Amino acid sequence: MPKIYAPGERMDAVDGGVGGGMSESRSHFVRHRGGSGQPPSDAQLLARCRSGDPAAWDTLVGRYERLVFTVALRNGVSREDAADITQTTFVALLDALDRIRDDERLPSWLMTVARRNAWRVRGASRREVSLDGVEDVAQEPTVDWESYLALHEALGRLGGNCRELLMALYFDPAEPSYAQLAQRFGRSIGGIGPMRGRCLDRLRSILGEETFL
Amino acid sequence: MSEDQSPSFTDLLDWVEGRADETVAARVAAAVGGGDQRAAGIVEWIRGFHRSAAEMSMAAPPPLVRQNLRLQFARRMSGERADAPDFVDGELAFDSRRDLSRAGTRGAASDADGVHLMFRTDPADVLIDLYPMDPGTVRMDGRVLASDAGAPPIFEAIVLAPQRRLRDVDGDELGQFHFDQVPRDATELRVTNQVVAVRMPLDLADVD
Repeated sequence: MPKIYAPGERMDAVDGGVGGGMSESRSHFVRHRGGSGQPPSDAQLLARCRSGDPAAWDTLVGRYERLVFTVALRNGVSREDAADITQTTFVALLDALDRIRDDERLPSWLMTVARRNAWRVRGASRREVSLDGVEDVAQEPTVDWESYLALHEALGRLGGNCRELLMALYFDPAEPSYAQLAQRFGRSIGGIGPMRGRCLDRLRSILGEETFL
Repeated sequence: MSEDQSPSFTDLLDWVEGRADETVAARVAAAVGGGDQRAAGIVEWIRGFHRSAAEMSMAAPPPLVRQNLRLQFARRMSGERADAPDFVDGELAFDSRRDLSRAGTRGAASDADGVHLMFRTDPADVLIDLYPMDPGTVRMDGRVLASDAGAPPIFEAIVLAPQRRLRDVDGDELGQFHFDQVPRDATELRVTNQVVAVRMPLDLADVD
């Protein structure tokens, strides 16, 4: 089982320097990174969103739009419906901005809302299909959501440049090169390998050594 | 093997990912194969992480989503209502089937050129290129040119046909949209974002 860390017990203080998100452009990131040179935490971004900062909202959406979109897709809806669900999920976050207090659980909150919206869409499309007299034989997608969530929450706790680097290296279908990452993170190409080693080792500490065994 | 001699996490990661040089690779291989339980455990963890990451690769949503969410946030913070815009009807300003033949400029090469349409409205012009695909469908490439240079440039496109409704949510920042197979009995095209919404009649029967 993943090790449970207390709220606020983040591992941001790793690897300084300019950071960049998987889908956060570097120039945008330079303007809006946290005061320590690290990308801002979810809690910081949510606080800035509450005060009406559009750049914080854009950064927050950029950080999690792929997660929400992918969760929708993996719940068996079309690309068009997944786009709608992504939008609906973030609009729900806008509605809930003043109510969300457990900022550390934002990935979990977004995934839950996205899955619920996807179920609704799938339920509606099933009803439409049944009107045509066609039996719905679609299979429930088999996704280990518990592991999915544990991994994303651990990445959230890792935070900072480490989170952004691991997301880019291991979860971005575009598979950016070390040269591209070096430019994005303002480091030498030779510095990316050791940094990803340190970051993944810390992720292992958060998740627990037994997680993938 | 003592902890001091055991390979570092990064060396083990480099080895698993095929990035270790020969010296490091030999040392790691010896440790993992020689009963270093710490090293073997980390290697297994890394391989498990790779498997999980491969299963959880994430897809990017269309850029339209980000554009719409920026607008939603701006409207929410300004207290503006976020109602969808009303559709305006596009006026056909150019149809190559009619206008080029009238001008006598349709040449021998025009068969491959398809049909070109332009619809005008106050908030945007819409350019459409239609190409025959098969007896039942045409390909549609379109572009929305908003009159206001500051207007959001990405659009969703919807084609309405008697039994079908097609959507393209992958419009780009140039206002372009695309459909591979539009049924020839389609009657209407709609392009919309949260600021501009245009609808246009379609007549695709003689696109050739």
